[in-house]
Amino acid sequence: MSEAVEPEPLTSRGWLSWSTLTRNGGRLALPVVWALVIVIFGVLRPDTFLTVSNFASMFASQASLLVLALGLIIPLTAGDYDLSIASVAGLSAMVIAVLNVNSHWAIVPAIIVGILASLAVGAVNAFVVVVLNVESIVATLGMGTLLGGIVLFISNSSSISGIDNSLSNAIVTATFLGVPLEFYYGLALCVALGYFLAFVPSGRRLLYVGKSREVARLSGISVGKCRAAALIASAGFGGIAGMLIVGTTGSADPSSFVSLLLPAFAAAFLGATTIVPGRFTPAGVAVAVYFLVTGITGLELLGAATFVQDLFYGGALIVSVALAEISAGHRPHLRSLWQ
Amino acid sequence: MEAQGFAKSFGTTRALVRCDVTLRAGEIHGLVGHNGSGKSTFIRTLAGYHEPDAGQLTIRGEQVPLPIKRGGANDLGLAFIHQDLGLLESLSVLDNMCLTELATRRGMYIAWPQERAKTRTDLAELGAEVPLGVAVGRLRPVDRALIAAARAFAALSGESGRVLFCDEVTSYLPTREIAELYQAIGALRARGDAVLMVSHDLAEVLQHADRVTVMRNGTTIATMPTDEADLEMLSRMLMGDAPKYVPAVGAAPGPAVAHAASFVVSGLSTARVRNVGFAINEGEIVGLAGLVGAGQEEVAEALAGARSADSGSASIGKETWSLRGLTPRAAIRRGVGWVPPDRAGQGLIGSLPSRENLPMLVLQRFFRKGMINWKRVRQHTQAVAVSLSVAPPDPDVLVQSLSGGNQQKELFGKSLEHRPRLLLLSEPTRGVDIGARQTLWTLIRQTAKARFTICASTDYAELATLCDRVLIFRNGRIATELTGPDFTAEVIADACLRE
Repeated sequence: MSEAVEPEPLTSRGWLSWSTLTRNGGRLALPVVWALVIVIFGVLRPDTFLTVSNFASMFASQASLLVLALGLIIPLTAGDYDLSIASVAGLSAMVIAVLNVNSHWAIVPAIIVGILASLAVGAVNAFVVVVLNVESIVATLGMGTLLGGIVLFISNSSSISGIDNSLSNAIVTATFLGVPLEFYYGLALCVALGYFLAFVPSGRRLLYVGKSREVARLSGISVGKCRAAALIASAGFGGIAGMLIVGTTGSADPSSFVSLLLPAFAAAFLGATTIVPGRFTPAGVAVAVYFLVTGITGLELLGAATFVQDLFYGGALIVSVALAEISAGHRPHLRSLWQ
Repeated sequence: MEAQGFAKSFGTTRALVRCDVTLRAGEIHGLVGHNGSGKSTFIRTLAGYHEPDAGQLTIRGEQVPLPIKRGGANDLGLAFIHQDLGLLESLSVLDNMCLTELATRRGMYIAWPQERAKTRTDLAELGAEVPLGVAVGRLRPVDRALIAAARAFAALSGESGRVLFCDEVTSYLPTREIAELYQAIGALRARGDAVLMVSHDLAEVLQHADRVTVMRNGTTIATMPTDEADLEMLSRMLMGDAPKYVPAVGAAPGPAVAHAASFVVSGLSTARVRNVGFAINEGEIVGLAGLVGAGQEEVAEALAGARSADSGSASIGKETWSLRGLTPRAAIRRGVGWVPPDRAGQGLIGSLPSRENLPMLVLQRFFRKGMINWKRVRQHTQAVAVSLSVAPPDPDVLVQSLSGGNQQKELFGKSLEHRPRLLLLSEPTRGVDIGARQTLWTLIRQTAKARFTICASTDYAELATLCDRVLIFRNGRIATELTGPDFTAEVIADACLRE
């Protein structure tokens, strides 16, 4: 794959020194570009961009996207795709809304059911992919589309608003250091997942399964269980993302969640070009998500129309990946990300 | 076709010294010899893959200028099929047959009815009765071989006097299908073509071929009609002289003097192995040998859980477990370690560093207080690498950047980490340089003292060096056992070739 030598862990001493920066050029390209973007927009629009409220809203608003992208990299590390994760978020959001608003459930049981529904979807995905041996791309794409229909059905094709305030309070109204709490929830999940993947044996096993199923199997790893657990976990993250969406807007919309899928993938792949190039990492994903939102917010403040989002997601992904590959001196080869 | 005095060297290795092979029209000709005798090099030279250093080639009375250009062999009426048939398993028979021709054809239109008709004709020439629409991967091995032969033949022009070279095609065919293959090839013989069959199996060649040529160390030793030859004569010619040690031929051996703590296998059956049983004592290294396809590889795979056995059980002392449905995970838990034959695809993850590969089976050991202690992992990996003489012993180096020998040592270390009671070695020094082989052999002998060790290998020298006893496999059963103070590679080879 495209790693020449495993990069020195950033926790080694002297990580801010010049030599470390030049040696690890490729992997730090994205954070550097991000810093540059902040500087550029800060210079261009100091009154609107460089404000606490702007940064607060940038960080918080994308927490759900961060959670989705984090969920994605779990099966991606193990070699599988979960194209249903955005739909699972939509399902979870709608289940919470329907139970809380239409059926007058308390908010906490509604959330629990929403998450359970997500996990159930994950279990079905796991069954179809691991037991029935259907390609994960196909299985989860189908599941995602199916869920879209289910969401329309349970919501009667209309938005539901009026969710219990306590959820919004916990997520977006309450702040810490001026930033809504949902940013910290996202961050906490990011750190937890990062820890799991790096410091817990089950997390390492995911990586081995993704790199070579046969070697993993012969080394005594239960490949089927790993892949199944990964797909259930990603659905779980989708469920949490749905909860964050509902909390942020106080309502659930049956069709807006679909548009989150591609940005989540863009963030996952963009994140794989940084921190540990060639590998999906939570830290990389976080950098990618916030870089993307910084760029988009900046452009919108400059007056660009909303289609700039797609241009930015797509363009940034292509440019970033190409630059990282060039700096590493290798030919781009997407499959090498998990082989 | 007459090939005289072919010679070919690769650097200092003389692969062909003086090779003479004559093929007459309307005959099946067997070419036999050990690994390294030059058979494959000769075939590849005729196919235009190598340039011979010396030699003369006459085909149908006309002298042919050497070297043969790439693709030129077809114009000369020579067709080749190899052990790897070159078929795409997921595509249909029709697709495979058209493959080579369509790959280079220009134009915008494929007339499928014409292609179908042509394919049927080509297949009929070799007597292959297969439906055109079936995926090749679902056909029997013999049908696949015939399709490959038909395709190779279809590329030739001319009606007669053609030659089909089959390089080790029968190694993995079941006995029934071998007979079928020869019968189909017989049709070519009747039409005045010639077939050269390269094979390990002397008995097969004696039964089906008209004449046989024996090669040894790059030289043609003799050519004779098969009526005038027998197994004894051929194997002596193959090896140079009578083996100095006469192996104890007889009924399949029972377990060795087994005591309470022996490792015993009984009733093991897999796809190629029938009801095999044997016993090993601690501290001894037992070898499993046989011709390619005789089944010894599957024994190691079954014991390791890599392949599910149809039946069988294993035991150490009083502890028994079934081999049917055994998974690698369960085998590891039982204290079985395996060094697989394919280190890149089965043993190690090349794109990860040593510190991830080596402790893969025992990561739990470094998981304390809810965290993997990577510092200890790296220290341990480095210590193990040093003890195995892996160079460099750096735990952060990607395994794929190590040399073959070092990778194999790494793999060996990985398989020992969980301190297995039984160590299975499959081709432990394949693709490894001389220095590393010696190191590995020393390591194997050292670690064998404390456990049961089985070594399945097609490298007779390795078996002769390492093993205290060797079990010879033939057609899925243990045919004989070599024991005693010393036996050489030649003795083992001879035992494998005998019926």
